[in-house]
Amino acid sequence: MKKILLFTAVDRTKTHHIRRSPEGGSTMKKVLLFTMVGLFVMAVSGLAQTPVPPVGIYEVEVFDCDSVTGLYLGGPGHLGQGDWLARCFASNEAKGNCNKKNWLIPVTVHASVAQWIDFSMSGTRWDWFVRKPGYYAANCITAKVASNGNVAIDYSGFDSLRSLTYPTGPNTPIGIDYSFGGSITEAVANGWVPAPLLNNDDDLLVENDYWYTNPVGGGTGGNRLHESLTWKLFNRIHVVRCNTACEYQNVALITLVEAGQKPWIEPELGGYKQPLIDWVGVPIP
Amino acid sequence: MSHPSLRSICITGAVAVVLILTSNGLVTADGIRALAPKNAPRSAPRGIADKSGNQGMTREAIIVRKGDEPMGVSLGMPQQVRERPWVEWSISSTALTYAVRTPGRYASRWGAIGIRSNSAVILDFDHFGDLKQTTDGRSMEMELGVAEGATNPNQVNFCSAGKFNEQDIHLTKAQAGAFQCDLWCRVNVTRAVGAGDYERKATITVALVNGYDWTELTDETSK
Repeated sequence: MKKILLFTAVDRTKTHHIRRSPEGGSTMKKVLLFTMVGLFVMAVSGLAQTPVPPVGIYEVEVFDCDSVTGLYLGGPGHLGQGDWLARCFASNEAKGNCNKKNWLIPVTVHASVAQWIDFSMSGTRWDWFVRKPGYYAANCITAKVASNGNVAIDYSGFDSLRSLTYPTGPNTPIGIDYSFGGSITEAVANGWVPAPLLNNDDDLLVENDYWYTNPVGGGTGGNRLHESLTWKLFNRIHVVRCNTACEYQNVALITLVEAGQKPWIEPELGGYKQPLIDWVGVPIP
Repeated sequence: MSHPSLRSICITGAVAVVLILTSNGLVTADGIRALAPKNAPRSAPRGIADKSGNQGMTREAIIVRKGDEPMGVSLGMPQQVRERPWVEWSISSTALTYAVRTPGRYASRWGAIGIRSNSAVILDFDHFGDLKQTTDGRSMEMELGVAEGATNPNQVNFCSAGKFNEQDIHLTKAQAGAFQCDLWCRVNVTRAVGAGDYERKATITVALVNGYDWTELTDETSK
């Protein structure tokens, strides 16, 4: 439609120019004709490059098969189920008849794969019992993340541990730092990040950084982020003499963001947007 | 008719009509003019009459009488009737779109292929292969299969998309008279498959096996 409008606009301009031309109509008519033909060819070639939008779209059954053998696992096929793991749509019926010897029928299979994430944390709470002042570090939590796309990790609300018993008093908060690594030595080497600064130290797991080839034991390689990344999270508290004996606490939030999620996924619950059929054939970056 | 000039005009007109009929076409029994094919080889039988003058698929028939020059078809002469090979085909869908949330191996009935022909037909599959990501060329495994009346994927003999190109279907004339099958597709979305859009464009060719070897029956021949 845009190309057609462009054609009309240029046509009007040329017509206006003809009326003012002192050279007479004949030459300008040829120019106009040539321009129109050129624009028409450009428009047609542009249209030829534009993908044909699907028509006559209808949903077909999806059968879940064994990932190794490929055998269908049984039960009815899944059709139009909003909570099913994959859905499929057919479109663009084609037919013909005549004496032509060869009919070439272009066909297309398209798969839009959403981003998934598989994560775990062995705990989401640390509880310290401190008898005396000092620096104490602990290997408390193991975190695993697997995904087929970039994952952003957002930290918010991290701060020093503040007194629950005397929330408005002049009590000194307990400083807390965070780090990660396979051992305390690695954690120290990676550096401790004070809790307030962690809020500005968000991480991004970039899928392309984790591709590998020629793995030990053969195989064709893969992506460690797809398989699973594991971290041990350490924290370190600094209890000083002026910390009053009481309860201290900080509640913070870690947000995992699937940075490459498809627009046809409902963002809050992770299901399909409805009606999903509206997304068939829509170009997705 | 007694006037000399009028008589000469009638004679001249009759001669002209005869010349036109013998040089360009014929008059069939039902009075419809038909032209000889422009590209008919000189060695091929001539004297061709098109019954309807219409290149419709099922109605068209060409009446051939052996001889070197175009001739009129008259009742009682030996006639040979040959019907052009034709095919009527349909595919209920030529595009398949998956929306996949999590890894798995998913199969679907792509669509029904219907063939009706008066000739042997070949279904030729080309350019099938694994799906490629539109941005960086990473791939996703795809398998295809053809089955008649299958109700679930276990009744389909799947093969990799690459090998599917070699699984052409040769239909005899009898089989092509009424052929129906389903095309099935199975994609393997492993954990190694990154989020993204994957696509494959391929071609199915419905080819008439031309037993008559007519020169005018080319790829360019259309409705």
